[in-house]
Amino acid sequence: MSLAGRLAQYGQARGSTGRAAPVRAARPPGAAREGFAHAVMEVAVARGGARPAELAEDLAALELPTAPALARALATLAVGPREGLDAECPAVMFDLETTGLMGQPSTVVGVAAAAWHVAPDRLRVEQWSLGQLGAEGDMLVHLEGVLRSHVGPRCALVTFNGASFDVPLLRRRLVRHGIVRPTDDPLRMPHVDLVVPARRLWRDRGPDCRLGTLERDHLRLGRRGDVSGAEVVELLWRWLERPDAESAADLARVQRHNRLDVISLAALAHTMHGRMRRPVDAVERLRAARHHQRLGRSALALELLQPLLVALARVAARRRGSALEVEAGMLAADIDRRAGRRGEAARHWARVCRAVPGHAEAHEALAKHLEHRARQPGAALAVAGASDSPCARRLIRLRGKLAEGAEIPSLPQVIDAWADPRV
Amino acid sequence: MLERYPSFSRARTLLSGAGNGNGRDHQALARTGEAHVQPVEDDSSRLNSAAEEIASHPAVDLVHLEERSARAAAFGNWPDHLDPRLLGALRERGIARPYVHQHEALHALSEGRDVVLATSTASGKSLCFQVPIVEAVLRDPGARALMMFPTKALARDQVESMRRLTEALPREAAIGVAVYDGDTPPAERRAARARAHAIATNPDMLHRGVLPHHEAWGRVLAGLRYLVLDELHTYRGLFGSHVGNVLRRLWRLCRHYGARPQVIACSATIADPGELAQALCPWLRDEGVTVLDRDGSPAGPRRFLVVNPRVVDEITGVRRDYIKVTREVTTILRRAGVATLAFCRTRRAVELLTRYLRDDESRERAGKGCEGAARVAADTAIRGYRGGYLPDRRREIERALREGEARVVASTNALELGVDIGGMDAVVLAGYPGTRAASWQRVGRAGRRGRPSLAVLVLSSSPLDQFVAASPGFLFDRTVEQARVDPDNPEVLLPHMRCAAQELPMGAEEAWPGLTAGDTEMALGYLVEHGGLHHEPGPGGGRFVVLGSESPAEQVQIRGVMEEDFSVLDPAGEVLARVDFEDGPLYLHPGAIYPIEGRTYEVRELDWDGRKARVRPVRASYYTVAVSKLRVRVVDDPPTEGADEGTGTGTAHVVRHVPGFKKIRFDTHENIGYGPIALPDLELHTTAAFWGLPFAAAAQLSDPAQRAGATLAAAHAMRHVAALLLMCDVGDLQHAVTAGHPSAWGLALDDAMSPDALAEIEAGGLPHVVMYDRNPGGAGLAVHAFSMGASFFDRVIEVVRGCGCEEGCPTCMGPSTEASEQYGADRAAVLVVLQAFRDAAAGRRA
Repeated sequence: MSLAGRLAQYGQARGSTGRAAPVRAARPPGAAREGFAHAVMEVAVARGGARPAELAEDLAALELPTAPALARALATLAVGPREGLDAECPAVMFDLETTGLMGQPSTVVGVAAAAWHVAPDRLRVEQWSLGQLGAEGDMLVHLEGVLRSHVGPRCALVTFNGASFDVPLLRRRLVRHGIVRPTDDPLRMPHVDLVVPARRLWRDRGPDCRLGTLERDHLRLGRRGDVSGAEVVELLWRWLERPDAESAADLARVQRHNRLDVISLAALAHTMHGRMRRPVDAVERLRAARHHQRLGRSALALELLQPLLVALARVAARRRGSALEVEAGMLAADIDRRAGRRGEAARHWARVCRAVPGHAEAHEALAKHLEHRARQPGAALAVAGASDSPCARRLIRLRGKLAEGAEIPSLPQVIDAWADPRV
Repeated sequence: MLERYPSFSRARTLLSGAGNGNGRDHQALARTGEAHVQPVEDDSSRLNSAAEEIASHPAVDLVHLEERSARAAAFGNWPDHLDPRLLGALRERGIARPYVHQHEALHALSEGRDVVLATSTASGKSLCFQVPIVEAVLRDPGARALMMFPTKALARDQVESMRRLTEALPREAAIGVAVYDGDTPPAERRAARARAHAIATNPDMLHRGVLPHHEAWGRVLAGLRYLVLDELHTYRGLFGSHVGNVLRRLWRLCRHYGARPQVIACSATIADPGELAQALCPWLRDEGVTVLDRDGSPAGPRRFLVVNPRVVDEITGVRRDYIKVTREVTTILRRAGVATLAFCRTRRAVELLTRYLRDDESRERAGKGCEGAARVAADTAIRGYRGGYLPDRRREIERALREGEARVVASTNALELGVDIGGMDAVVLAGYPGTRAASWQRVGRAGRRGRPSLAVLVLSSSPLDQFVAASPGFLFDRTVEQARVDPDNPEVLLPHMRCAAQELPMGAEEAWPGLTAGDTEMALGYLVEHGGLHHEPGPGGGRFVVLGSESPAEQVQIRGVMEEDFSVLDPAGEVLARVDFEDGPLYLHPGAIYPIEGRTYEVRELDWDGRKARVRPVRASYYTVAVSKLRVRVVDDPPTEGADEGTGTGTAHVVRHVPGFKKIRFDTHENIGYGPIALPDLELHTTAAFWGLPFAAAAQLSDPAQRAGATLAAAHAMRHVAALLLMCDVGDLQHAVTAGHPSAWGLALDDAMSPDALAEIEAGGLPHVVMYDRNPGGAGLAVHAFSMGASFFDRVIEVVRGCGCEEGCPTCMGPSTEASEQYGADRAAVLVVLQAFRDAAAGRRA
């Protein structure tokens, strides 16, 4: 029997036995839609400046950085090229909206946006929106071309969580459509993922570290009627299935969400830069210092730690200092030790020992310093023995080093001597 | 009509079963290019005397004896330009020259052709894909190969085998071989995708884990040079149709990434392996495929004995129990020290045989000394093997076989597939396996390189077996059965097209492999109409896509719906074995005696929802057999115009009910008791067709018993012919006979008949034949048979008339156990039934 005949019979059998039709009911075909849409708009950096009507309200309270300001901000937040980012176009902000998680076969890119400075005080935002699922390949070719033509050694790609999501997903979709060979990786470009510094600054300091939350809490970006991640998926599917006005409104909501996300990346970078330089409270101060140290800027880290270190120095003996001050002391000691400033390091450890008697790490570090650097086994023994969890081997060794009948100095004496050395 | 000592025919080339150790035999002779095969003298005489003893055993009649003389190895040459490192590795593995079929395969492949190898088991088929793969990778590190095996166990076995070759290569020529299946941990999966050159997987994994995520496999697909399909003959029937479509999707993606892999297929002996390969891989149809079936591997002399247990009661004609006879035959072999593999048709038979053989062995050994040690020795030397055992136990038994620790193994068809077990010297078939192909496949397990081997078929009392006793030519003279497959069945085709559309949107002018562009468009249009696909207009006719987050691949079960298996737990909570869901009520009802390698356990409790059976070890003097009853009900489709009342198609609801079990004493096999079972029924919802016997025919067959029997036999014939015409496996369809119209719940007769149904039918209800699809939800098979109308019955009548036997034979009558014997159906009555059906169908058309 021909296939036609078999299909007819198959349809008969299925229909008559009353089995449910597969998947979704067929939709009536609407007007032919173009494969994808590409929109361009320009946004002024200044708050009162020229901004497209649909964005003006949302961005009203948002302070966007100029190009040089963004370059500075990114330099604070991540390790950049030696000669620095281009002051005219330091970065391309980028964000995707998809119909699912990475790794799900049904995930396609629905909407994508990229933004960059075309003038020191003006941002250009380009947005791609999928009209037909089968046109995803074409859309991504266009998108990838735009990215590649702007991103370079002195112009970084900036995303939020893009290292785990947007970039690998984009690459996978490009390979899937046969646009990029499986062995190639054209998206290997300088990339600043803002989720990293964001987590460093704000981990456990709010409900979460998602972009929307940070926008709300730190950028004062007021969005009314915004969509959630799960909603985005549903709205995109509806748009792809139904060609009517209602679903077009759905798409518009997703587009708006995406545009705001991409623009706010610049503002977020700028804000985080501010916090890393001028932290608003002690916790931020400490975290910012850690961040700077991670990036190899120890001088800046120490500078930021100063207020906390001063407070630590003032803590009288046996009065417990705050945990932040203690942490600051340990961090400063670590920085100094690595830089070879051992005396300074010892001072910090001693101060911690004074503030928190028995603090294991500080006692051990100080004891080690006394034993091997200062070569004062008696003092070392006094300090080591006072630790909450002393190292047995060290104690035995130190006792061995002491001369017969030598006196072990008193702990407070040792601590004071090293915490406030008289030059 | 039994022949006692028939003529000894010699040198039948059809007896091509004698394979040899595939290089892993620990006593293998190195291949040095010698033309002669030296049979080992004492092996030969041991086997000969064992064969003599079996043939002249008082419990059996020798029905037939086939002999085949030794076959010398025929060698060829390696292809020119074979990498010297590879030649070195082969030499290190003891392979100096290839056999002719390997030579032909390698040369065909180097000429760019696609190859199907149809030589016997253990003839060294693996070499024919290992060598080209290694060669390709040595020349181009980006080359890749995908090897598909029907089971995970086989895939792992083959990976081990290939690694033994690649490990013999020099270190800088490292080649990665990996398994990628459901049990592979995530880290290994990533490594396999990224770095392995040859990847072994199975159809299910390909369907669900690889193709939907093809971009993650981009490197492999872009570099794919070879597609290896092992055990090709297992891809038949409905399952084969699914696999054929999975392969079409794979081919489509290969083309997308720019690759054109060559196919290397290995098949057991079936009638037309080339045709099967082309049905599964339609892109092979243009260039054709090279079929290689001339086996160049050496084979020792083989004897094949067919024995029939003797009649013990002249009046009733009852014969000795075939399991007991198998026990005696296997014991003869065991005493002669012959490594023996005994294939049984059922798991119960495996368990019984294992137990009996161990009892015999330990009794003999105990006679010479300590009883405890005797038992342990018996347990080591004699093993049982079946699918329900856990993988660890199976691996252990395979290893024991390979290393010679186990001398006798009783197994189901689980050992039929090519898992490496070294070589056996003898194969005993407990009962005829049902098809010639299966028989040769099993017999092929015997015979180490150059050494003599023995095969013994012990016939059971079932009609098909007795038919073989009457005409052994049935087994030896006819060609093996075909493996049939139908990938264009819309039930299978359409769901896979959806999967393909999600992998890559389908273009309107695209031609699905194996279909014309026009037919493809029609199928796509059908899917759009019914909501399975979405059409997006555009240049060139637009595209067809799948919308929504659901995964089409998740909605397609390529092996039929899988219910979770039952686990058998010992008192400590350890899992001892697994039992298929369908068989749960039959083997794991409370009170059942569940054996594992002959050791008995009693089922104390069955947790149906948790799929757990708790057992404890017991010393039982009996075993249990569950009784099952079948009920069938068909809800009609709206009748077509002019249809008779008693015929039609519809949805079938099939219920298997297990009311109780019998207790059978070991050794004597007498029925000593009965117990009730209260477990959920097994239900199947599927599509069916049914035909009611017209009154005229019923009047002609006035005896209700004869009427019922003839209808059952007709149903059997209809099912077998339907499978033939629909290109599916006989097992994909089921037949049953109900008393009266199947719209009412009626007990049904099938091959495992029940006394109540007999009573009902004899009470005068008009028998109706019901044919339904085994696959839940139906697969369009029975319905298609119905739509063929009178021409279908013409074919059935042709087969029943022309089947060549006098009275009616099992091929046309059905291998039922007590049923057709009781009913005493004969061909004439069956033809009355079929002719009546045919006329009714013709009348419907008119």
